[in-house]
Amino acid sequence: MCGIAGFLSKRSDGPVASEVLGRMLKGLRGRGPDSTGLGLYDPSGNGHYVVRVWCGDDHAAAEAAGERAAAAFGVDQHDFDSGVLRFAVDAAVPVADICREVEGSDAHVEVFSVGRALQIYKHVMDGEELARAYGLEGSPGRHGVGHTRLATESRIDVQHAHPFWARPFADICVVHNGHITNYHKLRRLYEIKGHRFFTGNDSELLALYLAHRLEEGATIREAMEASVRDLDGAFSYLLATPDGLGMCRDRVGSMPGIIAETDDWIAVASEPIAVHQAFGEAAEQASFRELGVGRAEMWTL
Amino acid sequence: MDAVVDCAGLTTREVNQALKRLAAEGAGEIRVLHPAARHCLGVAMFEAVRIRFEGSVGYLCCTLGDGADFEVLGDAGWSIGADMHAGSVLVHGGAGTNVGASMKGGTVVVKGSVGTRAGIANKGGTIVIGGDAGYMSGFMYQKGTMVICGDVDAGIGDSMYAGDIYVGGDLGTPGSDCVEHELTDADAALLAELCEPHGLGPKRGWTKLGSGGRLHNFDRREFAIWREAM
Repeated sequence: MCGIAGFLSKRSDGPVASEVLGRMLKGLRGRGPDSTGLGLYDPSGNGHYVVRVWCGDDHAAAEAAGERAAAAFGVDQHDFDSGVLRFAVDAAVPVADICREVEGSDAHVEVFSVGRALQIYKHVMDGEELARAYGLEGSPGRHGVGHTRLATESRIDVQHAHPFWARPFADICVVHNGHITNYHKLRRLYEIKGHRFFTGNDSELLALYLAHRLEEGATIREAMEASVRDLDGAFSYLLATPDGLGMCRDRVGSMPGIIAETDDWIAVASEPIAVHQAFGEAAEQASFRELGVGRAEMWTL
Repeated sequence: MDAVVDCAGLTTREVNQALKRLAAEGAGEIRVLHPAARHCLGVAMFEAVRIRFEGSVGYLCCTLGDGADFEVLGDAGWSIGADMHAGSVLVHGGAGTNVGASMKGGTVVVKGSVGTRAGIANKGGTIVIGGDAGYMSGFMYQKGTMVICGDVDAGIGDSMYAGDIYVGGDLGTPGSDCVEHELTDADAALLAELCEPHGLGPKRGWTKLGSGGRLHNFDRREFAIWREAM
C-alpha cells in the first residue's frame, strides 16, 4: 500500500501545494498510517541551499553538526526544530561536501534534503501533526509531493519515511507506492560502487537509482524511463524537481496511479479520493485518467 | 427518485446500511449524493433497486451485486462492478483498473476509457467500454462478452479460455493464444444491441477475438507454445 500525492498549479495565483497536498494525504490516510512526508518547493529563497538534517532527539549531535557547518562553510546561524537541524549555505559549496561534513558529526545524523527550493518534511505522525510540528500552514510554492506510509518490509521511524532525496542532486526527491523486488541485488551493486544506504527501505534505492542515472548524464525524463525498465516489482512513484512533477508506473500496472487535470492544476495520486478530498465538488470537473503501464510522464510549471 | 442518501458526514458502513435499509423498505430508486470518490459504496446489494450515485465513486464500488442496477454520474475507481452475479452498472465517465473483474453475470457499461485488466477472469458477465482499455484486458477470460469500442493496450485476451471480446479500435499486441474470429451477422446484431442504446460504436471497425484453444491442455509436443505464453 502507501499513498502518494503530487500537485502542480499551472497558475502563479493558484492554491499553494502545501495545503492541497495536506488535504490529499488526508484522503489517502487509509493507505498508510505509519508516517507522513512532504517535499515542498518554496521559490522565494535567496539562492542559497537550505539544508535539513535529521538529528532526532540528540541535541549534542545537532550542535556538533551545526558547529561543523559553521567551521567548514561559514554558516552563521542554524535552527533545530522537531529533530531537524536546518541551516542555509552558499550554493557554490558542493552538495557532497555539505553532506560529508555534517554527517561526519555522528553516525545517525542524516541529511534529509538540500535545495534552493526543496525542503523535505517527514515524521512518524499524520499530516496535520506534521504541518503543526514544522509550521507548514500557508507554506508557499506551486508544486510538491507527499506520502503516507504503510511499512511492509522495513522499520517504522522518521528516517524510513518518504520523501527520499536524490542525493547529491539538490532539489530532487521521490515518493513511492509499492515494492522494488530487485532491491537487494541493486543495493549490493550500488554499495560496491561506494554508495551509502541510510535505511532498509527499498524506496531509498529509487532515489539513489535516479541520482545515479543523472550522474551518468541522463536527463530527468531519461532517468525515469530507464527506471521503469530496470526496476522490478509493483510500483508507482512520483518525482519532483524545482520546476516539475513526474510520475512513473511499473510495467504491469500493479500499483495505482491516477492523473487529474483541470485548466488550472495537475494532481496525481494513488486514488482519486485524494483529489476529491482536496477539491470537493470541483474535483468532479477535473478529467481523470490512469497512467499507462510502464510509462513515465512529466509536467512543468 | 423517492429516497436519498447523502454520504457527507456518514461513514461508508453507514451509507451501505442506509442503502440496504431503504432497499428492504421497498424503495424502488435511491439517489446517493456526494459520493466523492469514496470506496466500497453499494457493495453486495441483492435487491431489485435502482441506485444512482450523483458524482464519482472510488475503488470496489457496486461489487458483489445480485440484482441491483447502479448508475454513476461521474468516474469510477478500480474494480467497478467486480464479482457481480446479476444486475447492471452504468458509468457515465471513465473507470480505473479491473472493470468487472470476475463477474458471473449482469452488465457493466463504462462510457469512457478504463485502466488495465478490464474484464479480468470474466465468468459470464457482459462488459461494454466506450473508450480505450488498458494493458492485459481480458486476461484469463472464461466466459461472457466484452466490447471495447476504442483501442486496447498490449496483451488483450491473454490466456483466455473462452468467451468473446470485440474491439472497435487498434488491437495493439494481443496476448498469448488470443486469436481473431470471424464476425458474423449475429455478432453485428449483438454489438448494435449492446452499444447503440448508449450512443456508442466502434472507433474504426469491429474485430472479434477469442481463445485459440492451444493452452487448454498441456502437451509436451507443444512446449514451445507454453514457453512463449509464460
